[in-house]
Parts: sequence; C-alpha cells; structure tokens
Amino acid sequence: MKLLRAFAYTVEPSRLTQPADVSGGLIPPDRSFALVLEQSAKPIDEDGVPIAFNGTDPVTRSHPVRDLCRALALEVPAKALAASRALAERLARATDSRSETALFVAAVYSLEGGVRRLHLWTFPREEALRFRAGKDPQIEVLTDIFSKRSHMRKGARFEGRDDRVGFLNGKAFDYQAHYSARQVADFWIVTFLGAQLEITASAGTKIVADCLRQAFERSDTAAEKDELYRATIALRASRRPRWSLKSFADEFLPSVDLRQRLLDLAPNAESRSALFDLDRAELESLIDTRIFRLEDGVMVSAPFSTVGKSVQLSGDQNRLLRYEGKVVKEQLRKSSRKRG
Amino acid sequence: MDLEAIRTDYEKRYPQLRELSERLEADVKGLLRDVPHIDRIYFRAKEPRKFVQKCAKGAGSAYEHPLSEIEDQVAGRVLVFFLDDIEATVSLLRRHFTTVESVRKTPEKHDAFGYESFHCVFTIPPQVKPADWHLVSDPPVTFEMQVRTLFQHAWAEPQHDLGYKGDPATPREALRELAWAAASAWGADHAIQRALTIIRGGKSDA
Repeated sequence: MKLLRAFAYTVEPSRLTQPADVSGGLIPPDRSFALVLEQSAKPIDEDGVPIAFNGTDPVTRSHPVRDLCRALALEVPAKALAASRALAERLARATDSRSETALFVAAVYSLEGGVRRLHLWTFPREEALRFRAGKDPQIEVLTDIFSKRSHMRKGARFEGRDDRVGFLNGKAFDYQAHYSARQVADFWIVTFLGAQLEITASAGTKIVADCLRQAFERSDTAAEKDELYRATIALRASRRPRWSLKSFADEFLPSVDLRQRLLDLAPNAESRSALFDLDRAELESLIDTRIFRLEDGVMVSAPFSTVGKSVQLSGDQNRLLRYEGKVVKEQLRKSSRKRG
Repeated sequence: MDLEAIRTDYEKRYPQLRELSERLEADVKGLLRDVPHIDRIYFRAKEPRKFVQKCAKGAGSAYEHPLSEIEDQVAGRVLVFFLDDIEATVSLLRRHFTTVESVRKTPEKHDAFGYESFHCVFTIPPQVKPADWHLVSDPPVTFEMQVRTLFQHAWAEPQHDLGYKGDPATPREALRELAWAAASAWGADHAIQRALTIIRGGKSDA
C-alpha cells in the first residue's frame, strides 16, 4: 500500500456561517506523517462498522460524498485538491458551535490491481502545555494541536477503481455512533458522509429477534429463558437507537455462557459487532408473545404485557403457570401435534 | 482480456458465490415470509461458463475488471401474482438492503411491447457473506434482484433460448410474434389486476 497524496484542513464549525471556514491543503507525505496515518487507520480495521452510501442516484449512482471521494482518490491533482476542500467544507457545515475546531485529514493510497484506497479522519482540537525546564522554566499553552488518540476522533475508509462499483461502501469508526442523542450518533456517518449502516434497521432488528428466539428455544433452564425474556423486554424499552448483537448481549445478558451462545447464533462473525439502528416497531412485531406448553397439552399464548401480571410463573426446575381470565373467544381447531 | 485466467479466477470463487446465493435466498425468504401473493423466490450464482461469455461480449469488452464489475455474479428473483405486488415487494427489499440502483424496465416507446421487470442492485450486506468471503480476491460488492409478475416472467424467461437478441437477421415475422406475446402478457397482467380491484370492491383505473 503506497501513500499517494494527503490533505489536511482545520475545520471551524460553520453550520450557521457562510462561507464554510476551512484552511489547509496538500500535505507533503513525509515518512513520519505516513506512519502516523498508518497507526491512525488501525481503528478502522478494529472498530470500524460497515457503511454504504445512502441515496445514490438510482441510474447514475451519483452521490455528493461518493463523487467527492472518487475525485479525491482518482482524479488529477488539481481536482483531487478541490474535492478535498469540498469535503472539508461539508464537514464544517455539518458542525455547529457545540463542536470544537477539528483537523480533517484525507489520505489516498494505491493498492494492487489499480485500486485506490481513501482514508478520512477528523481529529478534535485540544489544548496542551509545553514545559521548558532549566534556568527560566516556562509553560506555553499550545492551542493548535489535534489529538490523534481522542475518543472523539472519527475515521472512514472507501476504496475502489474508477468504475460503477468502486467507492459504494466502506467502513467507519465513530465511538459516539451508539449515543442516545440522535444528532451526535448520526453526525459522522449519516450527516457528514451521507451514508447509512450497511446492516439496515430491518435486517439488524431481524437478526437480533431471530437470535433471541433461537437462543430461547435452545435454552434448557427456566433461569436462562427468564434471562433472555428480561433482555428482550429491556431492549424493547431502551431509548438507545443503535445496537450491535454484541453490545446487546454485553448489556443485557449477565450470564457469560448465555451471552456467547447468543452470539454464536449470529449469521456470521461480521454481523456480531456490526452496528444497526433498532426498529422498535419491527422488534415488537417479531417478538411480542411468550408461548407455554403445559404438561397436559394446554397451550398458553401470552402477550409480553401479561407475563408477570395476569400470567404468573413460579418455580425453577418444575415451573408452574397460573392464569385466570375471562373468555372472549373460543375456536375448534385441529391440534398441531402429530399423532403417535 | 485473458478469458482463461478469468475463468480460473471465477471458478476459484464459485463455491463462495454459491454459498452467498443460498444465504441471500434464505434471507429474502425470511423477509418476505408473511407477504401474500408471492409465487417464488430464488437466487443463483452465475455459472462460470456464462460469466466468461458475459466478459467476452461486445468488441473490446465492456469490463476492464470483470471479477468486481460484473454485478450479477449472484442474482435473485421474486415472482409475484399481481402488478400491485411489485412496488410493495420492492419497497420491502429496499428497506432491508442498501440500494445502489432501482429501475423499472419497460419498453422505451409507448407503442412497443417487450421486456418488463423491476431491477434492483443492492450492496452485499455483511450478514450474508460466507465465513471465507475475505479469501475472494477482487470480490463483487453488489448483487442484482428482479421483481416480476408471473406473466412478465413467462415472456422473459424463454428469451435466452430463442437466441435472437442482437441478430439483425431475425425475421420480422418472429419479432412481431414476440411483440404480440409481450403485449398479451402485459394485457393479462392488467386484466388480472383489474379483476382483483373489482373483486375487492374498488374502482379499476387500469
């Protein structure tokens, strides 16, 4: 992987000001800077989530950020520079006075087979103290530094060739992406990049529902079933908009063994840690009933809202169910059980 | 373009493509399980022979890097009963996958009859990728889906076997017969949709 070009801009929050306040340009790619960029890219691999550009033109595949990324990575130097500045201005317009000044960095690499890779980062500004010891000790306050370790930093990667399929999707890391405050959670991936999580809300919600159902069916003990049931209720009630299967298991399943068994039910390894927006209405339509089969063949289908209230469970090994209620409808039906 | 090298590379990835198509099929069947009026859902991985044929099509080939550029290496199809079901099905698919392209294919002229289908291109989402997908060199990032009615499918499906496309020597009479068949399929779709609307008690605007 060879670093071809790099750009950097200071970005002042400019959502309410015109024009966007950015300053910078092409950075000579010296060895130490290239090394810093390589190290800064590690979270993309370790913590990055799959994303894809949202709302590409259904015929031309044009998308404002995709187009700029392609130009930055593939075009002649003058157009790449213009594209880098346009991205920096877009970032400035996406931020308001609640954010600090940031350093926006874009780096383009060439890979095998004519593929170009683009890394984007934003590093928040910090203040630091420089101390000079000696005869006349001095402290200097440095205000023009940007933290490469801050938890507020963000990054993204896209790659491809100059064709219809390049730069359609990529990876992003953002440690605030799971925040409850939607504007904060959406800032990097949705607002700035114009992208969405590649596991859609529909798909992700279905994954967690399927895993919960399967884990429940395979659980041997009432205690485990209760733990999974409580986790389901907690997820439905949670205000957090964005989850991964792993973050759900870590948050709501105290039992380490049960947690792992749930994660083992994921469609594949990548889907365990990939973020998705939880669709609560969809989750409630997929899992809203607990079904009990009693010793003598009686089936009790209990909406979640009734379990623990009108439907009472007791015992652990030999569980008992108690229910009394008014009959509002009766049907004659064929049993679903097979004979013999 | 070295077609033999392409064939070799494609055959290497074919097992992963087949697994991807199976996983996508299961995923879409789960998504559309409770949706009425669906006749069939199926996916396929393009056979190596057909992939190489596609690479070789046209003078100078349209693809510089076919292993990543050709987007129907895995493709799926949903067949529905009624015209109204197409939009509803496409809407569900677009919620479930990230859409790259979404186009209703119809004849260009108002007085022509031919191929009709709804075509979508989606990015391959993480949850359907086989465990060894990372071993595929220069992989596709997208897959194709088509949504059609049974009548649209009945007209479209034999087209490949007729082998007339792009052949300027195809007799005019044959082309008119095919246009008539397409018009009949179009008419049947609209008639059955009108019947459904009437039976449901609404006005027919077809």
